[in-house]
Amino acid sequence: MAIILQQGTRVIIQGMTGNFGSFHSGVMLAYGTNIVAGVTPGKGGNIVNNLRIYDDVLTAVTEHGATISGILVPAPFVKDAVLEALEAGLKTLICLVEGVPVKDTILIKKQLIEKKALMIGPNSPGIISPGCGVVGFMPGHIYKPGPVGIVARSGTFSYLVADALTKAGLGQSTALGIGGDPISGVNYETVLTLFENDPQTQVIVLIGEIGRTSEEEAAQFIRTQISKPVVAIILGKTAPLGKQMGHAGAIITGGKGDYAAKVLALAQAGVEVATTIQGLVQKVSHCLR
Amino acid sequence: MKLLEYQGKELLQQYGIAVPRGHFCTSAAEVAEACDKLGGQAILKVQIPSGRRGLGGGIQKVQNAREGLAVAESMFQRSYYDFKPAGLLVEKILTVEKELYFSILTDTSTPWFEPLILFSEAGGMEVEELLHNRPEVLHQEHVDPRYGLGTFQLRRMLADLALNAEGKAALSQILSKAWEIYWQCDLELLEINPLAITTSGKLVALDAKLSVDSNAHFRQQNLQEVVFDSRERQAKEVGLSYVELEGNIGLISNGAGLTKFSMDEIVRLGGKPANFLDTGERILRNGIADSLEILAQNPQVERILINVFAGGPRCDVVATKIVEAVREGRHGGKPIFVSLRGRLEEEGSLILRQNPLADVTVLSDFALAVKAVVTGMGREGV
Repeated sequence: MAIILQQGTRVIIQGMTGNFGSFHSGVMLAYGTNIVAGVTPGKGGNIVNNLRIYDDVLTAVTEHGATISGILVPAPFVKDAVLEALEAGLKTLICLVEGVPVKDTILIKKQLIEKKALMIGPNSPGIISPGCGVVGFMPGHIYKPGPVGIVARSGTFSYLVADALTKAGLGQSTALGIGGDPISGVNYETVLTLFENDPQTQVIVLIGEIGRTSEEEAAQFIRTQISKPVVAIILGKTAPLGKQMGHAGAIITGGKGDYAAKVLALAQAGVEVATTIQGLVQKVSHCLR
Repeated sequence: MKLLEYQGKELLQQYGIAVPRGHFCTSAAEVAEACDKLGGQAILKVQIPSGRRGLGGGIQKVQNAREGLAVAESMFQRSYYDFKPAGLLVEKILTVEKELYFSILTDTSTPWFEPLILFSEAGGMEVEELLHNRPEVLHQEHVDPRYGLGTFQLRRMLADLALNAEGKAALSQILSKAWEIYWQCDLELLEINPLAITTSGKLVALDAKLSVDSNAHFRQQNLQEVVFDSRERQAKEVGLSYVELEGNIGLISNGAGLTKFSMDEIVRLGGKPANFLDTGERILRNGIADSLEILAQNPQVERILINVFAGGPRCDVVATKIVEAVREGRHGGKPIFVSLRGRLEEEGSLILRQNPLADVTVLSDFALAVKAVVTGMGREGV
């Protein structure tokens, strides 16, 4: 088992016809992801990556029984693509697109709650369940199946962690990035719960960043709801907070969201906090012993 | 993306919120002329993307055009919080009876990130002070953006305010307009502090702090940021995410998380990063060359660390980009330390080995590369 993306899960890609979309879908297919069709309004009937393109999500989903949509449309069209996918009945969306206006994400979020659906992203590196598939940009070859679940805020650094874990013989159940935007579809808590209930996952790695209070909230949640060991690392200890976060966030959080606050909250929840990749690998390895 | 006060006020005015009569001036002569037009007496405000301008001497009252000219000349020559003013906003001085506080921002602490309105009858002070000193007079209202700001919410916010029905109606109208601007223009922050009630009973925005969501640029093209630092402007133009810091180690990395981690590691090993620079997807195009060119121009940068983990992009492509950029001299002769890992790592390292460059030291591992760039040594580690 893995979370969200299982062996054989049927996936459609919204935005597969452009250069970017067709290239990345090709990479996902080569890894073994069960992509069954693509959707691009106006391009119905075309064939890309040997897969049929549909004009609308509902037809593609009905014809192929897909349960996940990977979204690769340009940022201005994301809101429409997501609303269409939700209307077509999909409950799991992976939004890989960078540059979505916050206002659009706010409106999307309302609809996600109403439809009880889950969206990873926007601005997410996606999700990989090693050996099952990838809907995202993760380089498949560095991941191996195993007991470690990874949830990260951003992308590239989590690849580095996966690489180090794999080299130490510690494979992964599923790795995903919730997205680097100020607001995101799914929160840590939802992903942590999925890992908690996944029999394959034995240790959870949480890769956080300064800014927002997501890590503090996750810490509260871990304290009461998560029994599996969690190992964390927080990026941006030395980054100037003011430059990253606007005035707005600072007002509401009242000084929360900095490195020390996050590390303290996590430590108080019994989470092992590492400061280097080697340290993180050691802690994970220790948890598995 | 922060708008300057004069830009924010233009936007408020377009939506029918009153601001003081004023002129945006880029020279002392223009300031003198503006003072004349306003009847002599005026207030001069430096236009920089920072608050607390008054404390730094960035807001000055003058009595006539002659004084305006002299004061403006000195203001144009100074820097305020490291910013050279983009200009001076010259405004008519109003007599104020009461100052209110008003802002709208996105509340990321709620599950669906609803916009939040903050309103207080105690205006003039910073919101942090307000929260701290007089929380009892700070009203908070979340707005469901699908339905907008409700009249019932306005009534609730203004209930305790010592203002007659007419005054409250006028104020409600302004707050509704402000909400419209916030939502229609993709703002991250709209703060009017103070929102003044003048002695003649008019409501006027004396200051305006507006910030636009940069992701919405494609549909808000009339709202342009005034960029101050030239290297930051240059980076923005070529699509790099760049923030200048105070150290001497130039940093080029890919991915926001990895770049932050690289900074942390430089500091952990005793160095000081000169910048945050995330090439993002640009790494496959001119990201490396553009980045090197920007770091070459920063006199603080003594050595450069390139830390790339190629997930999507391939190491061989990145290696070729590094070789090309250095051959073209984009790095300005500064020593470069490279850690290049990920997809097709062997091929990438082969390209770097086959094209030895005097200024480039390739290290097999990120930790070694950081050590080398911090100490300026480790070239034997090739």
